[in-house]
Amino acid sequence: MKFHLPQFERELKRLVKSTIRNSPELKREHRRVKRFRRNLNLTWLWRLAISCILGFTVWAAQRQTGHLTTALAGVGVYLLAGLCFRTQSLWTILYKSPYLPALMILPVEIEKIFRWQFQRFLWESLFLQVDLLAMLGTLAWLNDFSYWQWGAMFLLAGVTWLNVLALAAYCAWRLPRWTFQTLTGGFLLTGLVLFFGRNTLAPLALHLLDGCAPVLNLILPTAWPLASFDLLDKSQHWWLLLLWLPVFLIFGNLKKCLQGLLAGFVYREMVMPPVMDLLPGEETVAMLSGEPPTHLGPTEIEEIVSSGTFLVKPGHPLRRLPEQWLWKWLNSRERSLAEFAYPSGLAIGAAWKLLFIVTAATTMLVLLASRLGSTSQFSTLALGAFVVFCMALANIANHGRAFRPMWCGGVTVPMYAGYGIGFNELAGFFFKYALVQLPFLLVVFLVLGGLSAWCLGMPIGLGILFGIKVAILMFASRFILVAFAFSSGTNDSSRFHISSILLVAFAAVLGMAFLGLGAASLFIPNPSESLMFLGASILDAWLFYWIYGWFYRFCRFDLMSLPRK
Amino acid sequence: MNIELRNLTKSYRSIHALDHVSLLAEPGQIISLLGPNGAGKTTLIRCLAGIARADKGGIYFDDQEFHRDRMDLRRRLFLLPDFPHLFWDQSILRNISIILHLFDADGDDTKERVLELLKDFDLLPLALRPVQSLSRGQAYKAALVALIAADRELWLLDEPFASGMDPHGIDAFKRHARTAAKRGRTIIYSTQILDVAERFSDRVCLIHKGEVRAYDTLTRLREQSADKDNVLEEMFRQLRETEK
Repeated sequence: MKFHLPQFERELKRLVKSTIRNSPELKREHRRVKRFRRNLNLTWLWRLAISCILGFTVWAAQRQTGHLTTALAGVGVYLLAGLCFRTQSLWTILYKSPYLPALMILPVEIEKIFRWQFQRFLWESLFLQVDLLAMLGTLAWLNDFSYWQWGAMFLLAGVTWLNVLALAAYCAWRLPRWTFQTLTGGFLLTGLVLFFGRNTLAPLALHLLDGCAPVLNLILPTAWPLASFDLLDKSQHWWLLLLWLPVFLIFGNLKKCLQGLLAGFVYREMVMPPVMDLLPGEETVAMLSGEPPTHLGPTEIEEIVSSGTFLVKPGHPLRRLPEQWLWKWLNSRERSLAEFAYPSGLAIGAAWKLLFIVTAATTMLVLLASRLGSTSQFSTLALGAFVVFCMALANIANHGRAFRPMWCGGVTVPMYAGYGIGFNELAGFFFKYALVQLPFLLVVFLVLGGLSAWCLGMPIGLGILFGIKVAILMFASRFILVAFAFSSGTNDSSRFHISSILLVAFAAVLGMAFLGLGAASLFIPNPSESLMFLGASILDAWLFYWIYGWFYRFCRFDLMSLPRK
Repeated sequence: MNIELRNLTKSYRSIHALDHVSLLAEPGQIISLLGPNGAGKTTLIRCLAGIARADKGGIYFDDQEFHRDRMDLRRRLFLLPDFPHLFWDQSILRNISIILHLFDADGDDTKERVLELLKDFDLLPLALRPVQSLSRGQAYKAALVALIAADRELWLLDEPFASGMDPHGIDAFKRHARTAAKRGRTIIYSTQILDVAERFSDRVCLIHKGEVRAYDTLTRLREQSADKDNVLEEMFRQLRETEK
């Protein structure tokens, strides 16, 4: 379905082209613009790479377990994750698409807009079909399928894909949004954990999958059509054909689902709820007797302005110790930068309080899990350490609003560039911000290091030392992260220029060196050598920051990101 | 502040946004940048603000070369883009306070000045509302109050007359800009509204395809033009005819 007339568009294009051909000036302009717009969209390439990885994964699953059922259960689980993603995507396309405000003001029936949007969803879902073909094709090749079996495999892949899409329509219609949002997040996290722990956790997961594959193939709705794939091979369980019954029911229900989705497809213009006045400082609240009203009158506002309350620093009270330490340490200029980067106030203490709670919970859970066995103990420790690591990194690398991209005139400019804020002063402020957090970082990783050592049966002191080194490395990464933050708002590496090539090369070399030196400092047993590597990695991170600063000052790139097209 | 552009050249891939632009602006002038869409007006403003960096040539403020690391020079100017850089979840007053602190412009007389400006731009009753609850014109006026209160030597404004401001706001802006120019401030702004440019500017800079086609006072341009009442329209007409 199309909103435009292709015939009309073709004729218009022909007319424009002939007009350009007949005018030398327009021809020159057209050639110039065409050169500018030439670019390659490589999205499909990396998406195809993912399909290949999936194909390889099912191949490895069958090779290692020797069971086709296990590989099919893996495909079923992947399709379940795909179902969550697709449901999320369908919901967004139908109800939150940025196209909607533009479409709704056109004189087009709402049903047509719905169909057009649903068609977009189908196009976007095509890659799931490619994934499915890659996985089932690999299994067909591995099991030496004949021509007719290959044909049946293609048919099965098509039906399975349709089954997932029909289920996505049902879920988007019936389930509350948070369910598939949570599941999507869960699947993403699990995928990441399995990817990074492919040598340790993935074999465990495969073992688990192998054990419950027959049950999964029966209970997962995404795996129901796949059960027939087993029949194409050597299975004699013809009763598996019964699983087609619920699949037909799902297809039969599709029309009703679409009608349900259409019924909820009512565009509502975003209206800001009524807002309250934001009072500057606690003194203002105290100034007003009783509960502050929704809006202050002009006389009260005039009093706030003329008394200078709004100019008093900081804008928000410094409730906890780290904020108070930092505030005392900052000079006048840095305090202005702190206000700029964190206009809602500094909140270091609250973030670390949460992290301490998570660390304590991880410790408790690991102690409890140790009673169930070493596998559950290590799984809990790995998951807890991963969460703590991510949270600590987010705390240390928090840049507030300083680098937030602001859209203006077709480009995005980082917030700090709009005002007279320099590289060194902003970076200096963020280093102080990170340094205040170093004691908390050390405490958290000291606990995690000790806990890991206890789980592994190693000396606790060794674990504590390991934790301290991780904390110092994380702090050192601040130098690199701040350089990346500055770089993110510029076009420093997107131009084809000798300076861009040099910049990318230096970032790659020093970045890899930091990782290598950091790993060496963690795993080399000799204490003096380990300390030397730790020092070298800190120096490397500082060099990264210093060299980027040099590029920032002397290279002719812009403090803005240009559109790709 | 004396501003000098020497052979400023800037390109984005194969497009020449600025092509050997050279001009001199003395203090106390209101300069309007005119030109068709994509002529290079915004790029020129971004170069002057240190956001875009020229491929060749240089910008000199009081004979000192300006680049993004010269924070002393950077703090002598204020850039107001077409969509102002504000903290949308914070109130107008908080935004003004943050900006004034950043520019070290929070002296003793600032309070009265801010109060006067808020009244002038009809923002006093809205001063404690979050910026995100305001209309586009109101948000622009809030940024304008910060700009005028910060009172830098060079004001750079991108399309201030297409910002959604009401006539009263436009009038207040013009008044304050005129007073500031009399105090020696330089105001450089881009616009497409020729009537406004003709009445409001001391100098006009016509840019086309990255080149400066005309840069002079309106009196001088009138002297050279056949149509003395619509000098800028006449210039645009001529530009179009030359293109054909």
